[in-house]
Amino acid sequence: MIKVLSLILLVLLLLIGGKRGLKTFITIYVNLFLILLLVIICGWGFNPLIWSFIISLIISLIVLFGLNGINTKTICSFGAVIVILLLFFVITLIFNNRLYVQGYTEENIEPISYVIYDTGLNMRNLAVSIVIIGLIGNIIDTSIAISSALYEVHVNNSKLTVKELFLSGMNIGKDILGTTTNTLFFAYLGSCMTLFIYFQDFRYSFSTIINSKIFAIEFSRIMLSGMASFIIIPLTSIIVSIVCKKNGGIFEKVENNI
Amino acid sequence: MNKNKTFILLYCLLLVLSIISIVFTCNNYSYYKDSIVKVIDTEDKYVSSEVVTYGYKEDIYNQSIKAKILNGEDKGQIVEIENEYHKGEAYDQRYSKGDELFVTIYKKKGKIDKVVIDGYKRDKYVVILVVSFILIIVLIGRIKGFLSIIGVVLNILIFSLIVYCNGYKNIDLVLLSFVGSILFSAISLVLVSGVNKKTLSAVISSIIGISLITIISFIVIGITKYEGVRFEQMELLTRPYEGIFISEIILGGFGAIMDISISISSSLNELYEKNKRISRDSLKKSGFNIGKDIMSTMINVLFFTYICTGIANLTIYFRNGISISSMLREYISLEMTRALTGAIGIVITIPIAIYVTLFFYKRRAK
Repeated sequence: MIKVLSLILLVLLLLIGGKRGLKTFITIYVNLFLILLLVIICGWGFNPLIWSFIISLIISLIVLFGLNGINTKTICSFGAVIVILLLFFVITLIFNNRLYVQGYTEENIEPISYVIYDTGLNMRNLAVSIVIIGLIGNIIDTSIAISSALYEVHVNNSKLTVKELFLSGMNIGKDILGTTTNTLFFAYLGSCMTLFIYFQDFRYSFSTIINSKIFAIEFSRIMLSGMASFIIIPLTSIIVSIVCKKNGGIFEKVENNI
Repeated sequence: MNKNKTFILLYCLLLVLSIISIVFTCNNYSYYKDSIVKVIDTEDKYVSSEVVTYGYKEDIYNQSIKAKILNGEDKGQIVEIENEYHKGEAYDQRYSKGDELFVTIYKKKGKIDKVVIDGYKRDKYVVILVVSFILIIVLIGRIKGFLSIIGVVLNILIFSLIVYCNGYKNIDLVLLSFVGSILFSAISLVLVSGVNKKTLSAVISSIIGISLITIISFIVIGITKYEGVRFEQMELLTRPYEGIFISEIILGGFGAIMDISISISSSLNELYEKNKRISRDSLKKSGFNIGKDIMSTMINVLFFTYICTGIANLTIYFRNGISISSMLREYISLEMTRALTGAIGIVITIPIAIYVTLFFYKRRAK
């Protein structure tokens, strides 16, 4: 089934996106490979926190520079992505240590018996890296949308001050905000549907759901990735405005050399 | 300036409401029927180690917890609880000072005999997450952020209605999700961009997009008969899960489809308004350029959102000695199916959105 779906996707991407479509298709599988690499590294017992940070950096390098080229916009976005990643490592670590969302619950354990779940692996750290990998796609998407729109504004009207440029970034951000919320919300709704039907089948009460681990796992992921993609809006705007105004030309030189 | 002042005033009001709700959930013990205790002291003792799979060692600890009862008739009493946990905390967990736990109190002749932990009280952290989410979205998006929150709340209501109708009235879930998604798109898009032509064309193109995706998934399922898809966690459900699976696909990709539709229709609208003499062909060409620009990162958003749910399972399977190739073949299949279907939805919506928007302008031109 996955082969058939991949084939359909490849044909559509080639038809509509051409060369860029092919790149997108390859990126999906490169990213899948990177996720599997992370799984293997964590499986060997290396620290999931450090390695998920490294893998996230590689992913953002590939998505930003591979798909969108090396230029002022992508360099600014990359800076913003690094800052948000570090920030949300700390925030997620704090929240996960209070919410106890590591590991498994009776609701999401696989009914087959031959898998042993206690394998000496620190599930708390792994839970943090899951949140981080889940939000990397959003923050890259939001950040590149802001930086390319803002860069256009800068090119078309180079007389704007840093503050004015920042404010127009925030204006663009407001438009993106609504659609990002929708994309995220529905993606999670799609993956939680089984869970909610399960809650209903087993007559969970509201207070049971609110306090249950499985709900907290899914819910904290939605909220944290939402917040990350909101906070990156002003951050990218600040970085792009300052770089375009104060250091005008630095990255253009880089661009020309490449 | 005046507008700014009103915003600051309203924001302060929101802030006060948030603080009230957090304080409330931190002190709502008397509203729960279950007994709640607060951990005041813990002592961890190493019990033993067991060698699990492939030589991986797991340490087992025993924790003696001293806790104070916070509600019910035994309020204020100090009890002792035993808690056994594995160091990795895959199933069980280590508690620390200050944690609040749900417990069952067993009594013998009116005296507390034994206290067993049922679960952890997470409600206040859930509320803190919601509140900070709302505060951040309103701070950055102002009125638009507020409207998005309203949209999400309305969508959650429709979603609960779908689950309810399916559970109690036995209406087909796929049909419900389909009807639901028409409502979803109307509500979300009107809230995001108001009642106008571009919203209408976005709603129409997302409905066409979602219908196509439903048809495609039915055809692919018909051809492959779910070959290679493992319904891991869905097997817990007490009912056939094929319908649920298709509904999940429909809903999961829907946000992205709406996003694509509204981006394309509003940017084409912008181009048309700036230059009313723009030709149909150049509008079409710009539409495809915009589509190409947003499509790749959108596909990545869906991919990572879905794939991250599989990481914990995959790592555990890896430690159980399941090979990478069989992981690729079987264990990640559910997440990949969702991500791929969503991606197909995104790509297929681009031309649909362009032609629907153009259709509206052609009619207006006449």
